[in-house]
Amino acid sequence: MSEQAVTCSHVSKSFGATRAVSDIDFFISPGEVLALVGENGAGKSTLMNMLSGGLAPDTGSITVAPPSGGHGRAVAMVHQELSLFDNLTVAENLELDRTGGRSFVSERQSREAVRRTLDGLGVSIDVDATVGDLTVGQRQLVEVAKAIAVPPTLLILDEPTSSLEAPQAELLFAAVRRLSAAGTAVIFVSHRMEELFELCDRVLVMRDGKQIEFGDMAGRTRHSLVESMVGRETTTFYPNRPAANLDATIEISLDNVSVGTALTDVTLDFPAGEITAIAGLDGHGQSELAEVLAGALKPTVGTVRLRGDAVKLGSPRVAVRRGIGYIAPNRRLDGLLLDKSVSLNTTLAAAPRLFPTGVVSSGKERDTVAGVVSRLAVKTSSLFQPIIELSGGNQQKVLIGRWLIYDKLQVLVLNDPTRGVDVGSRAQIYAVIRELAERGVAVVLVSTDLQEILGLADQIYVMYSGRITGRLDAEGASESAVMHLATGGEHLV
Amino acid sequence: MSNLTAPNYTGQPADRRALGFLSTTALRSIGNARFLWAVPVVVIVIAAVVLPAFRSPISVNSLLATLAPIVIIAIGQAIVVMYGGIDLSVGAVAGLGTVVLALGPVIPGGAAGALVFSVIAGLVVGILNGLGVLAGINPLLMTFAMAGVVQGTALLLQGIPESAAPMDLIDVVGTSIGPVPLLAILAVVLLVAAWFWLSQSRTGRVVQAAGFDARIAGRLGFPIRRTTIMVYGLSGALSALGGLAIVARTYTADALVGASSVIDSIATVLVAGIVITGGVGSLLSILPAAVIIAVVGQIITLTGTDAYYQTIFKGVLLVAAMGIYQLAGRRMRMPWRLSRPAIDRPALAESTSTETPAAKDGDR
Amino acid sequence: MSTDTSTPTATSSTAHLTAFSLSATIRRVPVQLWVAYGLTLVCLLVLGFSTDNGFSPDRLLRILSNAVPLGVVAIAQTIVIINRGLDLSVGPIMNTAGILTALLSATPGATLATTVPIVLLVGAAIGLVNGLMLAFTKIPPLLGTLATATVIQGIYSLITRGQPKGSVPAELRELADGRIAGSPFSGSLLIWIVLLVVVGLVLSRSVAGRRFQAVGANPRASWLSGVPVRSHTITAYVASGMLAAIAGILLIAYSGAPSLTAADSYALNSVVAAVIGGAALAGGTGSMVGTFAGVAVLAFLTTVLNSFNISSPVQLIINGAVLIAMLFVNSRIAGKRNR
Repeated sequence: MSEQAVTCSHVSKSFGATRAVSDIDFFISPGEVLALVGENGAGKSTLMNMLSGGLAPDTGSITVAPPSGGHGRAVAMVHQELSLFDNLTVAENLELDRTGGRSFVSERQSREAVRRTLDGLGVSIDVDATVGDLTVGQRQLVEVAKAIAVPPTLLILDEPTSSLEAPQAELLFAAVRRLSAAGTAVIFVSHRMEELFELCDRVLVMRDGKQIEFGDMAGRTRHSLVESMVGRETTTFYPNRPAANLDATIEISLDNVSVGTALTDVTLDFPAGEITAIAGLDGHGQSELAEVLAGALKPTVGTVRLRGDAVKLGSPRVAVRRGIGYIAPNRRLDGLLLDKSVSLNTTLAAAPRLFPTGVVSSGKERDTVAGVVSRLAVKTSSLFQPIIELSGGNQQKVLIGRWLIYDKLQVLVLNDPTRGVDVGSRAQIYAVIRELAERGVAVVLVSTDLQEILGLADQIYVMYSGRITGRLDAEGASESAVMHLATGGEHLV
Repeated sequence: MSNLTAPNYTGQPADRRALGFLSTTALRSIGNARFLWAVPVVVIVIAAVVLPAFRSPISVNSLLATLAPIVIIAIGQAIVVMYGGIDLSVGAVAGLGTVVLALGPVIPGGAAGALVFSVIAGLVVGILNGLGVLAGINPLLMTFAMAGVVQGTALLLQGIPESAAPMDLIDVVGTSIGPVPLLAILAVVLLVAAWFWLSQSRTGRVVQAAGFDARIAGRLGFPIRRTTIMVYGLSGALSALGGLAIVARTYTADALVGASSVIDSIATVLVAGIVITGGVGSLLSILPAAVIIAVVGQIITLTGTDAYYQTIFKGVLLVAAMGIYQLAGRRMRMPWRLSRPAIDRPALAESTSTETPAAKDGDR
Repeated sequence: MSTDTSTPTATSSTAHLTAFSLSATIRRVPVQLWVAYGLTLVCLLVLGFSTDNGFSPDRLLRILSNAVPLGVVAIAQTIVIINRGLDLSVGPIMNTAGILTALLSATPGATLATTVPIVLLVGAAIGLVNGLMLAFTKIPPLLGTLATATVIQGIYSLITRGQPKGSVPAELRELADGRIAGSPFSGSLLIWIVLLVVVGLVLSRSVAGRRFQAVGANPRASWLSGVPVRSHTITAYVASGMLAAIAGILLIAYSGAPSLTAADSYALNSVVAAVIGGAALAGGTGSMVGTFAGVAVLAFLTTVLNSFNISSPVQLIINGAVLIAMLFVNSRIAGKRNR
């Protein structure tokens, strides 16, 4: 009678008034690979945090068996954000992770051990390489190596292949299979369905904090999983899509643009009044493309054209002057002035246009911001409330509001606009985006959320490895068609 | 050393590298600073050729005696800077050290006891600095404020009537072997020990890592509290020791004896290529940096040039340090995000957001 | 074709947001300000009750007036701190201004009207060097302005060979000693107040000033939203240089003689004053109201200690301890707001 590796018994967790996770009940046997599936905001992160011991459940219990090797951690987690020190080498980073041992590091032994761990993973990264010199994919592999140096009872992998190239991902899968054969339980989170089907034995589907499905992977289809994840007809959630306008003027376009190794020879048109999506797996150049449009990144080759005229977007300032607005993917770091008021955050971009004399008129400011708040249903106690106190969804709405009030807006580039945003706010944001498009703005939607793209966009460009692999009309596009192009497949039609 | 430019290169087995008992980063840091070592050699050679007075044993002895406190205090400053902080109280603590030493006649244990108390006093000040930093006070301001408190205390203690610099003890401590003062040897020994500790011990590695990225260090559960107190405590103790080295040369116990030590130690640390934001650099480079500063000072004294040239020289040095910084920064590929958002509170999302606080929220 | 800009104005559901609320406004005042003004008040009261003409406005204003050089340079430092920077060269700039003013005033035909603009220009030029360096390279402000400071010190030490020449014009001394039209305000105090008001209004009421705060709060987010981040940084240091020059001129108005070292402690003291007043070294926060409080605390605290004949060493200890206490309180407040 084998002990379960992980038992999660009627676990719930709330943050204030929000039920993040409610009544999750499952188990993982040793050596099983469990797929954890759910949209952004479904509660996966909270669950993983509780499993790794970083958060305590409000009700219920989580039990993890001690590691079979007798030492090391019970639960090892590989986050999406890396915890490596760029100033130290691979070996030194992994050495930092080792507990116990004498107070002085035995350099040779340490590097030998790390070499062995990397070899076990099948990775040929030099242990003496300074982490700062490694590519993102290599760092991700090092992070995985760190987690499995001493095999834990449970290994949690959160979107581990997001920055990996195909051969690196293969290495990872091989390692996961080896670990699972040796008895380690694995939780695998990924948006790439094929990976889940290839690797996982069982699946746990979450939606809105609740457990929707738990059982064997065999017998399920991608379609059924997506349905469970989304739980509703996608079309009612997204605003109606108007008929395609074949005469739309091209507001902005990229002409043979390349940026280092991140983007290669991209030629794209973005029509006014339409929502053009850029789809693809994370890290294949979409962010760079967005930043080129926003003036935050200069193309090494090629030109950006506004209505046909070549322009040099030397800085975001120039881009904004020309009517291009940008919402960066990481709002805490790149979007919000955390300590500042809702008011200041909202008027940041449009202030020179709202107050041409250079003096801020508090009456007009109040009215404008209040207008945005009511228009987007931002939940805030006061216009002067520090924006850090608002929820992610409301913060994102303020960021959208920032461009809503900018009268010169012709192009709006959105990069992952609904990450970490609750379902209700998302619907409101989608409605506003569609409205902006209807007013004539060319909307560029960069997102890794496929459902969002399929539901919201008018046309979809798919990227793989820095190139555009194909274009699809959103009407009638299927997830598999997009994924096919996103994983390097040739355009079929 | 294995190929630095091909991170994917499967090099020789890890244990066959030369000097394999030393950490790779330590070796690389020394390698990065190799040009620095040439400068003092060149300057010394030129000075020795051009100035006969420079070659005299008295001059050499004086130079080394000046070098000792600079190096000792810079070690403490370097450790703090590597940890991502700064210590503006080093000068005041050096002064305190000398004043406590002069309390020999008044405290149990006599002069020897006073010596011990002196270092302990520095340690205590350092620990208090560390506690302040842990409480969230910016190190620049905390150590600056502490400097005021320490200086005032030292001035008060200086006024105690029976206090007197212990001449006998100073004679012993300040002896020289030939032209080389004992304290200079001690300084070098301390330097090598500190360097070895920083690069090979677990705590030293934590200092380097946390100095580079305190957020990740916190996330990984490093012993930040313990380490902070230790780092600032060390700086305090070393500053007091540095004060004693100054007394050995000047024979006067004075609260203000370390007045120039703050700038000197910071300049030394910066010229040594230790990045002010933390985590990068080699402690060993302090030696050539300190020698440059001391030798030029000596040249200025010997040639009777205006002392003002010293100030200009220090300015030039700092500008050079900036150049070194830029180069080091380029090597390290310092990301824009080194100027982090003022407040970064991932934990906050979990307590006030009204929806699922995805750990992905905001972090990519 | 541009998009329709007018979002609907406040609806009834948002009326509560646009209505004015005194209690909300009071709650918005940062706690650090209450603490700083509270401490000032305590010092004032102690001073008032412990000495004869304690509460005379003349005396109190005189105390403030003597603190004006620190006050003006604290404005400079606050501006730079809001920009996430630090200007350690303000001390040497002050010395430079004093030396240059004295030097120029000694040349025949020179008047304040011709001398002062030149000195201000020099201050601004030094600030420009700082600003360009810090805006275009990754050198941290601590290191960069320290280097500038040392170079400037070297230059004026060399040029004056340790003996600054020249004289302080009588009109300048009048600014410090005299009164304006029979009021208890000295000329220099008025200058300080005017500067506080002007800078304060610019920071809080102008588009540029608001964006300036935004740059300090989050440079990248501001940059992406179209704010010219580099210009703001350069402007901050130019302003700092000019204000430091003004402070230097006012300093010799009080001391009566130029000096190579008189202003050396002003750099760090100005940081202290700014931080007591609520400016955060991490950037994005700071106000003139706060800086005034910071300077007032330092001025009145010193006066109180002097009035009790507390010796210089003990004053040092008390100043340091009070500073640590206030810093501790500030960090607790900042910490609490994070919960």
